[in-house]
Amino acid sequence: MWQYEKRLQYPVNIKNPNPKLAQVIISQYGGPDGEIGASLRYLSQRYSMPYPELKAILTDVGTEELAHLEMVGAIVYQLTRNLTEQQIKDSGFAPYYTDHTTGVYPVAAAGTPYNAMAFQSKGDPITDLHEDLAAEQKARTTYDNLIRLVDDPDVLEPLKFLREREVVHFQRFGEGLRLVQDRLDSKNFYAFNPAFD
Amino acid sequence: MVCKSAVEKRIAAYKFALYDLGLYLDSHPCDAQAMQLRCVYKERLAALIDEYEQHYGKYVVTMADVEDSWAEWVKDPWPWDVVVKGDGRCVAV
Repeated sequence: MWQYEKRLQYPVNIKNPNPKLAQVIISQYGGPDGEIGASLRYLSQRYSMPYPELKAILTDVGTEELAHLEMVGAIVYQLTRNLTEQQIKDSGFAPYYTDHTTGVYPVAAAGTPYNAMAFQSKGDPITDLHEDLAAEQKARTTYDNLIRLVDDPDVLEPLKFLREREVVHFQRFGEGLRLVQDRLDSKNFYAFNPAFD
Repeated sequence: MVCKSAVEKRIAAYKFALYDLGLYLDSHPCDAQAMQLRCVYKERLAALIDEYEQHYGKYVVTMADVEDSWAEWVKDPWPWDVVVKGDGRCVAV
């Protein structure tokens, strides 16, 4: 089970609304490499993971991703406060506004709703951990792309924090993969599914 | 008096350090040095929460922290709300 903490993992306090930025940053809420997909991936992969250290890593990283989802949601919410009709028309925010007003909804930057096809839970520790390593890099690339589009320091600081966490998670999953590989025996030299075969 | 948001920031920093150390310990559960560091951070976090509570009342971040008044849990700001700072600027402690 979980217990909610009524605080953000890293502060988000954005003074100036900017719906143009909100539309691209929302991809880390509900896009293909966003935080909801990350959380679902790790929390779903836990069940078929046979090693206790990996169960712990997937649980703790999957939980942290929910805290990141909340941060990205806060960024999007704060960037779309107090909008005028003119700001909505001028910023290209009108298509999103039509369907969701300023409610936060999981979509990619191009408007595609969140789709679980963006991740796998394959039931094979080696397959899943390679997916997790790739996922952290894809999320890091997305934050890099976003950071290039942002010049407001209020938005930049939390994005830089989130980017850094992708790097740390990649490191932890790398160690996790090594732990799994160390437990393969000589009969499984080619790394077939150690959870099933 | 110590600025409220500065104490909250230090509490958040120690909570983060403890979480990140925990994530490391997930793959290195027998690292005695990391466990020792965890004890140090836990003591510092407890001291900061004591300091907060001396000045500002009960530190409530989970439902379980509530003692007397449920309004302490319900009240604004929620984490995504923009906190409008007053004119008095905080001095980091």
